[in-house]
Amino acid sequence: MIRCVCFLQEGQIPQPVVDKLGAGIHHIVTEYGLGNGVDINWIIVPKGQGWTAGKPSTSSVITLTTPPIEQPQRIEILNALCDLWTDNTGCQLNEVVATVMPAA
Amino acid sequence: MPLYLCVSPKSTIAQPDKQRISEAITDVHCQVTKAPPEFVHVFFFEAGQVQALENFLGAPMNEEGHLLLGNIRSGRTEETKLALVGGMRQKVAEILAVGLSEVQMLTRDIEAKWVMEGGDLLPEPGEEAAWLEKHKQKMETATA
Repeated sequence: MIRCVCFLQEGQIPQPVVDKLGAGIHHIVTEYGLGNGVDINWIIVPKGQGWTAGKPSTSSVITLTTPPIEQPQRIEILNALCDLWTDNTGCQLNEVVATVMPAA
Repeated sequence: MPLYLCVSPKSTIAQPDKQRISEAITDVHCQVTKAPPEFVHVFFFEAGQVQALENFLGAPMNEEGHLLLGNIRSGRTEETKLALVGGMRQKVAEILAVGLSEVQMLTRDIEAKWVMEGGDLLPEPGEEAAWLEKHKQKMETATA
Protein backbone atom coordinates (compact mmCIF):
# COMPACT_ATOMS: atom_id res chain seq x y z
CA MET A 1 0.00 0.00 0.00
CA ILE A 2 1.27 3.44 -0.95
CA ARG A 3 1.36 5.90 1.95
CA CYS A 4 0.71 9.62 1.88
CA VAL A 5 1.00 12.04 4.78
CA CYS A 6 -0.49 15.51 4.36
CA PHE A 7 -0.02 18.36 6.80
CA LEU A 8 -2.75 20.98 6.49
CA GLN A 9 -3.23 24.14 8.51
CA GLU A 10 -6.43 23.99 10.59
CA GLY A 11 -9.30 25.93 9.10
CA GLN A 12 -7.55 26.66 5.84
CA ILE A 13 -9.06 23.98 3.61
CA PRO A 14 -12.77 23.03 3.95
CA GLN A 15 -13.58 19.33 4.38
CA PRO A 16 -15.25 18.95 0.94
CA VAL A 17 -12.04 20.23 -0.62
CA VAL A 18 -9.98 17.85 1.54
CA ASP A 19 -12.17 15.06 0.17
CA LYS A 20 -11.40 16.23 -3.37
CA LEU A 21 -7.70 16.26 -2.59
CA GLY A 22 -7.95 12.72 -1.28
CA ALA A 23 -9.70 11.58 -4.44
CA GLY A 24 -7.06 13.38 -6.48
CA ILE A 25 -4.23 11.62 -4.67
CA HIS A 26 -5.92 8.27 -5.32
CA HIS A 27 -6.23 9.21 -8.98
CA ILE A 28 -2.55 10.18 -9.22
CA VAL A 29 -1.43 6.94 -7.58
CA THR A 30 -3.55 4.93 -10.01
CA GLU A 31 -2.70 6.99 -13.08
CA TYR A 32 1.04 6.59 -12.53
CA GLY A 33 0.76 2.89 -11.74
CA LEU A 34 2.20 3.29 -8.26
CA GLY A 35 -0.14 0.83 -6.61
CA ASN A 36 -3.70 -0.29 -6.14
CA GLY A 37 -4.50 2.06 -3.31
CA VAL A 38 -3.14 4.73 -1.06
CA ASP A 39 -3.35 5.15 2.69
CA ILE A 40 -3.69 8.87 3.35
CA ASN A 41 -2.99 10.34 6.78
CA TRP A 42 -4.27 13.88 7.15
CA ILE A 43 -2.42 15.69 9.92
CA ILE A 44 -4.06 18.95 10.86
CA VAL A 45 -1.67 21.51 12.27
CA PRO A 46 -3.73 23.21 14.99
CA LYS A 47 -4.49 26.88 14.47
CA GLY A 48 -1.53 29.02 15.44
CA GLN A 49 0.84 26.06 15.59
CA GLY A 50 2.34 26.25 12.10
CA TRP A 51 5.07 28.70 11.11
CA THR A 52 6.90 29.34 7.86
CA ALA A 53 9.86 31.72 7.78
CA GLY A 54 8.97 32.55 11.39
CA LYS A 55 5.47 33.76 10.46
CA PRO A 56 2.06 32.04 10.63
CA SER A 57 2.08 29.31 8.02
CA THR A 58 -0.38 28.72 5.23
CA SER A 59 1.65 25.86 3.80
CA SER A 60 0.48 22.37 2.96
CA VAL A 61 3.16 19.69 3.16
CA ILE A 62 2.48 16.48 1.24
CA THR A 63 4.72 13.41 1.43
CA LEU A 64 4.00 10.47 -0.85
CA THR A 65 6.09 7.32 -0.43
CA THR A 66 6.29 5.16 -3.51
CA PRO A 67 8.06 2.16 -4.94
CA PRO A 68 11.34 3.09 -6.66
CA ILE A 69 10.66 5.31 -9.68
CA GLU A 70 12.76 7.26 -12.18
CA GLN A 71 13.27 10.98 -11.65
CA PRO A 72 11.28 12.13 -14.73
CA GLN A 73 8.22 10.26 -13.43
CA ARG A 74 8.82 11.67 -9.95
CA ILE A 75 8.76 15.20 -11.38
CA GLU A 76 5.48 14.49 -13.18
CA ILE A 77 3.93 13.23 -9.95
CA LEU A 78 5.24 16.21 -7.99
CA ASN A 79 3.74 18.57 -10.56
CA ALA A 80 0.46 16.66 -10.46
CA LEU A 81 0.31 17.02 -6.66
CA CYS A 82 1.09 20.74 -6.83
CA ASP A 83 -1.56 21.22 -9.54
CA LEU A 84 -4.07 19.26 -7.46
CA TRP A 85 -3.55 21.63 -4.56
CA THR A 86 -3.54 24.90 -6.49
CA ASP A 87 -6.53 23.88 -8.63
CA ASN A 88 -8.69 22.92 -5.65
CA THR A 89 -7.63 24.92 -2.63
CA GLY A 90 -6.86 28.39 -3.93
CA CYS A 91 -3.36 28.02 -2.49
CA GLN A 92 -0.47 29.62 -4.32
CA LEU A 93 2.37 27.41 -5.51
CA ASN A 94 4.59 28.87 -2.81
CA GLU A 95 2.24 27.39 -0.22
CA VAL A 96 2.68 23.82 -1.42
CA VAL A 97 5.58 21.56 -0.44
CA ALA A 98 5.39 18.15 -2.10
CA THR A 99 7.73 15.22 -1.56
CA VAL A 100 7.73 11.98 -3.53
CA MET A 101 10.20 9.60 -1.98
CA PRO A 102 10.92 5.89 -1.96
CA ALA A 103 9.53 3.82 0.86
CA ALA A 104 12.23 3.06 3.44
CA MET B 1 11.79 21.99 3.39
CA PRO B 2 13.22 21.90 5.91
CA LEU B 3 10.26 20.84 8.00
CA TYR B 4 10.81 20.92 11.75
CA LEU B 5 8.23 19.23 13.95
CA CYS B 6 8.21 20.13 17.61
CA VAL B 7 6.36 17.61 19.76
CA SER B 8 5.90 18.45 23.43
CA PRO B 9 3.88 17.27 26.41
CA LYS B 10 0.43 18.82 26.63
CA SER B 11 0.26 22.48 27.65
CA THR B 12 3.98 22.88 28.30
CA ILE B 13 4.73 25.64 25.78
CA ALA B 14 2.95 28.98 25.92
CA GLN B 15 1.89 30.45 22.59
CA PRO B 16 4.36 33.38 22.70
CA ASP B 17 7.16 30.88 23.32
CA LYS B 18 6.09 28.93 20.25
CA GLN B 19 6.58 32.03 18.15
CA ARG B 20 9.99 32.58 19.74
CA ILE B 21 10.95 28.96 19.15
CA SER B 22 9.81 29.09 15.52
CA GLU B 23 11.90 32.21 15.00
CA ALA B 24 14.89 30.68 16.78
CA ILE B 25 14.73 27.47 14.74
CA THR B 26 14.46 29.52 11.56
CA ASP B 27 17.39 31.71 12.58
CA VAL B 28 19.63 28.77 13.50
CA HIS B 29 18.78 26.95 10.29
CA CYS B 30 19.47 29.99 8.13
CA GLN B 31 22.67 30.94 9.97
CA VAL B 32 24.10 27.43 9.80
CA THR B 33 23.04 26.51 6.27
CA LYS B 34 22.79 29.97 4.64
CA ALA B 35 19.40 28.87 3.31
CA PRO B 36 16.69 31.52 2.97
CA PRO B 37 13.98 31.60 5.67
CA GLU B 38 11.24 31.03 3.10
CA PHE B 39 12.20 27.35 3.13
CA VAL B 40 11.83 26.84 6.87
CA HIS B 41 8.61 25.34 8.25
CA VAL B 42 8.06 24.73 11.98
CA PHE B 43 4.93 22.88 13.13
CA PHE B 44 4.05 22.29 16.79
CA PHE B 45 2.13 19.33 18.18
CA GLU B 46 1.35 17.95 21.60
CA ALA B 47 2.27 14.35 22.36
CA GLY B 48 -0.57 11.97 21.69
CA GLN B 49 -2.44 14.61 19.70
CA VAL B 50 -2.19 12.91 16.35
CA GLN B 51 -1.59 9.19 16.04
CA ALA B 52 -0.55 9.55 12.42
CA LEU B 53 2.42 11.61 13.52
CA GLU B 54 4.10 8.52 14.88
CA ASN B 55 4.06 6.99 11.40
CA PHE B 56 5.58 10.14 10.00
CA LEU B 57 8.17 10.39 12.77
CA GLY B 58 9.06 6.75 12.42
CA ALA B 59 9.32 6.54 16.19
CA PRO B 60 7.08 6.74 19.22
CA MET B 61 6.49 10.28 20.39
CA ASN B 62 8.22 11.45 23.52
CA GLU B 63 5.66 11.69 26.32
CA GLU B 64 7.88 13.61 28.72
CA GLY B 65 10.47 15.87 27.13
CA HIS B 66 10.40 17.98 24.00
CA LEU B 67 11.23 16.34 20.67
CA LEU B 68 12.37 18.16 17.57
CA LEU B 69 12.36 16.25 14.30
CA GLY B 70 13.99 17.97 11.36
CA ASN B 71 13.45 16.79 7.81
CA ILE B 72 16.42 18.42 6.10
CA ARG B 73 17.91 18.15 2.67
CA SER B 74 20.57 15.49 2.33
CA GLY B 75 24.09 16.58 1.52
CA ARG B 76 24.66 18.42 4.76
CA THR B 77 27.95 17.57 6.44
CA GLU B 78 28.03 15.99 9.88
CA GLU B 79 29.51 19.25 11.16
CA THR B 80 26.51 21.16 9.78
CA LYS B 81 24.06 18.70 11.29
CA LEU B 82 25.77 18.94 14.66
CA ALA B 83 25.58 22.74 14.47
CA LEU B 84 21.87 22.56 13.63
CA VAL B 85 21.04 20.11 16.38
CA GLY B 86 23.23 21.79 18.99
CA GLY B 87 22.05 25.29 18.14
CA MET B 88 18.36 24.42 18.09
CA ARG B 89 18.40 22.34 21.27
CA GLN B 90 20.21 25.15 23.06
CA LYS B 91 17.78 27.83 21.89
CA VAL B 92 14.69 25.79 22.71
CA ALA B 93 16.02 24.90 26.16
CA GLU B 94 16.76 28.57 26.82
CA ILE B 95 13.33 29.75 25.72
CA LEU B 96 11.56 27.09 27.78
CA ALA B 97 13.96 27.43 30.72
CA VAL B 98 14.50 23.67 30.85
CA GLY B 99 17.61 21.54 30.90
CA LEU B 100 19.26 20.62 27.64
CA SER B 101 18.55 16.96 28.33
CA GLU B 102 14.82 17.70 28.11
CA VAL B 103 15.12 18.72 24.47
CA GLN B 104 15.91 15.87 22.11
CA MET B 105 16.38 16.21 18.40
CA LEU B 106 16.58 13.96 15.37
CA THR B 107 17.25 14.86 11.77
CA ARG B 108 16.23 12.91 8.70
CA ASP B 109 17.87 13.44 5.32
CA ILE B 110 15.60 14.01 2.33
CA GLU B 111 17.02 14.24 -1.19
CA ALA B 112 16.47 17.70 -2.70
CA LYS B 113 15.40 16.10 -5.98
CA TRP B 114 12.51 14.40 -4.16
CA VAL B 115 10.96 17.71 -3.09
CA MET B 116 9.07 20.41 -4.97
CA GLU B 117 8.41 23.73 -3.31
CA GLY B 118 6.82 26.64 -5.08
CA GLY B 119 6.55 24.49 -8.18
CA ASP B 120 10.30 23.91 -8.50
CA LEU B 121 12.51 21.06 -7.38
CA LEU B 122 14.53 22.15 -4.38
CA PRO B 123 18.14 23.14 -4.98
CA GLU B 124 21.01 21.13 -3.63
CA PRO B 125 22.54 22.59 -0.45
CA GLY B 126 24.69 25.59 -1.37
CA GLU B 127 22.73 26.41 -4.53
CA GLU B 128 19.89 28.24 -2.78
CA ALA B 129 20.73 31.81 -3.85
CA ALA B 130 20.67 31.06 -7.57
CA TRP B 131 17.54 28.91 -7.14
CA LEU B 132 15.73 31.61 -5.21
CA GLU B 133 16.59 34.29 -7.74
CA LYS B 134 15.35 32.13 -10.61
CA HIS B 135 12.26 31.12 -8.66
CA LYS B 136 11.34 34.72 -7.79
CA GLN B 137 11.66 35.73 -11.45
CA LYS B 138 9.40 32.84 -12.43
CA MET B 139 6.80 33.82 -9.83
CA GLU B 140 6.89 37.48 -10.93
CA THR B 141 6.42 36.44 -14.55
CA ALA B 142 3.51 34.18 -13.58
CA THR B 143 1.73 36.95 -11.73
CA ALA B 144 2.48 39.72 -14.27
